[in-house]
Amino acid sequence: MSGRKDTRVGVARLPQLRAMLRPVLSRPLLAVFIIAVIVASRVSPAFLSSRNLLNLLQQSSIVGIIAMGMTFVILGAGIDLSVGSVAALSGMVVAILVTQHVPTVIAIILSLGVGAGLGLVMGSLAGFTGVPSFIITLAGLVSLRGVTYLLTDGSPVFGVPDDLRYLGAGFVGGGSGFVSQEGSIPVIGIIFIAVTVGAAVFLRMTRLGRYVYAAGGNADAARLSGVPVAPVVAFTFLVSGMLAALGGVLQTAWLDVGQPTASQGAELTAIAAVVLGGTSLFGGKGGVFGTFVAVLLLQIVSNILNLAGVSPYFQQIVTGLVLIVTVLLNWFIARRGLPMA
Amino acid sequence: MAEEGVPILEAKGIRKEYPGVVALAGVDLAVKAGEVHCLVGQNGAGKSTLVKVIMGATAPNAGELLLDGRPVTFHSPRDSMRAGISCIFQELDLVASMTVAENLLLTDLPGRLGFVNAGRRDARAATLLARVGATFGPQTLVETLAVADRQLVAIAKALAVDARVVLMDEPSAPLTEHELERLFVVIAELRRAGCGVLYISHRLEELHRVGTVATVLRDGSVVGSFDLAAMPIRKIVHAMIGADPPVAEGSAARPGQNGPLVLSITRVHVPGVCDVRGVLVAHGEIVGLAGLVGSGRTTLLRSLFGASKAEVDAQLDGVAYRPSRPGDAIRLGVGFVPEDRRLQGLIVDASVADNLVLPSLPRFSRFGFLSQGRLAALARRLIDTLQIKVASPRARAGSLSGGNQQRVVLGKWLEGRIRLLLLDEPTRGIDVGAKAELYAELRRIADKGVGMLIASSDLDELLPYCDRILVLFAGRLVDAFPPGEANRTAIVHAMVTGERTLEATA
Repeated sequence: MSGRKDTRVGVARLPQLRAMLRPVLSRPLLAVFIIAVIVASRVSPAFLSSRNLLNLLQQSSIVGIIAMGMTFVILGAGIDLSVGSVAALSGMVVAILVTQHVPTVIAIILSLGVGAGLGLVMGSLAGFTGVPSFIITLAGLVSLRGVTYLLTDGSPVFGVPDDLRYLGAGFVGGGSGFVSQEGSIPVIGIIFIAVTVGAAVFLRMTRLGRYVYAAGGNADAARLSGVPVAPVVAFTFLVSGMLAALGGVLQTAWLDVGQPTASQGAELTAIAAVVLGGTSLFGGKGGVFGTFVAVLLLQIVSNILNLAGVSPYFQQIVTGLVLIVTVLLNWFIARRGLPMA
Repeated sequence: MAEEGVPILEAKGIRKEYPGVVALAGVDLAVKAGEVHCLVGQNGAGKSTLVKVIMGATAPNAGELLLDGRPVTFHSPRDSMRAGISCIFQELDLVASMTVAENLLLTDLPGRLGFVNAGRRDARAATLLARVGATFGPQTLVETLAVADRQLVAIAKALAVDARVVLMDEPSAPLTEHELERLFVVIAELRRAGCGVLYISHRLEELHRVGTVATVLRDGSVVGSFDLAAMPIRKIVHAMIGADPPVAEGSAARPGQNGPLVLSITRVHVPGVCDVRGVLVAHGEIVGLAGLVGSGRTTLLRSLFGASKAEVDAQLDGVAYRPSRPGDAIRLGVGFVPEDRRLQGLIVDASVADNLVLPSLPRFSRFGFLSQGRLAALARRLIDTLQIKVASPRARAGSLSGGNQQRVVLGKWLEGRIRLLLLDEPTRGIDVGAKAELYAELRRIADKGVGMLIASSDLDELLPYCDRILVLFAGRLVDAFPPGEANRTAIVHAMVTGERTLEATA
């Protein structure tokens, strides 16, 4: 149901080939992803090594988790510009708490609570007043960054204990601990995958998940079908805030330090990944698996360019181009695939 | 009036077909200079289609348009505007955030090298505003104006482009009596300026005050063009409806008000909009709500569904019923089919199945998790019982035909404990065959004990299919017609005038 496009064009011709290629042709993202993987493996044989692939997963995880929350918000026809600042704030909160000897589990729960609470406040403002979420979360982006700096007067917080570090930089299997060996899987990657699967199950299988799609697809029709639209919208921001906080906590765990400047611009990468993943900015269409693939794709592109020794300046340009081309392909196929209205 | 000379605007043999419908079957119409030509007809008679053809928004299948005796072809509304035809719609084409002067001269701003000469612009705008008797200045922001004043701006805009012919589609609908007087003064000014005015209205009582000639359309054909001076309202209504005396067929032996009541309204009150008292609906009864646009039908239905703020004092199956949100109504077995299917009824990008089960999700989930199998079965069952023509339950709802889309919106409510269905214009935009099928379906649902309130502008569907017809006027219940006594002329009279009876109804 999520973003599945109806491909009718030329079905009569070459039916078998069409049928075989349909899953790829109807999903330009997948096609681009496959092309990227092929190119990458040509550029460097090291690309397909399990170590490199796991690295990729590890590097994608933080922005990926933030993008999962963003997917909720965008499915509900909103936008959350505050995620970078919420991530930084929560990353600082967890660092400060653990260095004050608060047990790690409690510190994490409190930090996630801060993110969820901030998301709920912003989402409620947007949902119940009708002020565009763009504006409200823009205010959040600016002011919460200020709050983050105020916490420590702008200085980083050092002294993250090992149990927290393990979540960001640890491995399971193989060597375990903080040393990666052949076949050891980064903990942060497992968290990312778990969040993705959890989000997918939630959106697909629960009533609230379906309400998110309905509220984003047509708020009026949803309201007249008994969907409490404003609370549902507020809920999507709660999820986004909480997952942004999780991203921030993991960032602190991964860097080994609470950085008030962390995650600047994360909102834009997250939005780019959601859109690249095929979720409609108008709401109601798309899903988290698209976002998952898109996050990996963005990481692969920069990985290819790194392996090929391309200057980081060019990398930004290429990332922009990949985004535009994929989204245009998406748009083009959606238009051709749908029957004329 | 000015009998001599060729008409400014003439339509000859205009024919327009849509798939399955002939909207216009060869229509002739001639508007002369200095004439206010009224175009009347029931909903669906072809008035809007004719306007669309004249303004170039849609191309006719046959026939021609003549402007000052010369044949013209318009490919777009811009073409017709350049040729001197201005249209004033209910939804006025004004940029609300700009000033009156900027709106008036938007495409013709005086100045040079791209710089606007604000002084000259405002001076020209002021002249135009004076001609329509506006009491506001050219610097006023359009968004601060009342509807009537915006209409004046739209008319002044027509003057600005030296319109020869001005089309007015239901200009009086949003106006108060006082504002209406001013509109008529402005129309008289247009006549004096030598414009031809084509005036479309549902309010028959105002035709004699504004018009000189009336052309009556029925089922896409011209019944005749009449000099209004010699044509009482009664005869116009007769011409609109047709010579055949109205027959309320098929309303025999219905479970009238004797059966148990599902809904009993003491009062539904929305200050200034709607104050309806004493509506009763029995189980299995289909009650029609007739009334003009703005008579409060939609407000009444939305209030009963908890979708509009209102004081509702009513009983549902004898128990006090005061819904404050749609969820309350749905839990109690009340369903609502809203007026605008695509904007309010359907999530067009979601699948047919997702749309069908949406209101039922609370009853098909446990601890928030949905039972997918039962939901899929429900969707399949609804598609079967309503015979929705769709390749798969996963098909996009927006890809269905109008009639099938409406079946989906209806089907949303047919799960479980539905006992009262509220329907607002359920057949809008649906072709004739699908209409009859939809009403047959509604009757089948009613026969299972569901009570219904159906609002419609189309008496042709209320008369044969409803057990009783209530007439709303200006937010009040003015008349009720029990089965067998539904008399079309009396209903139209009540709808238009708000008065209870027309002479002695035969």
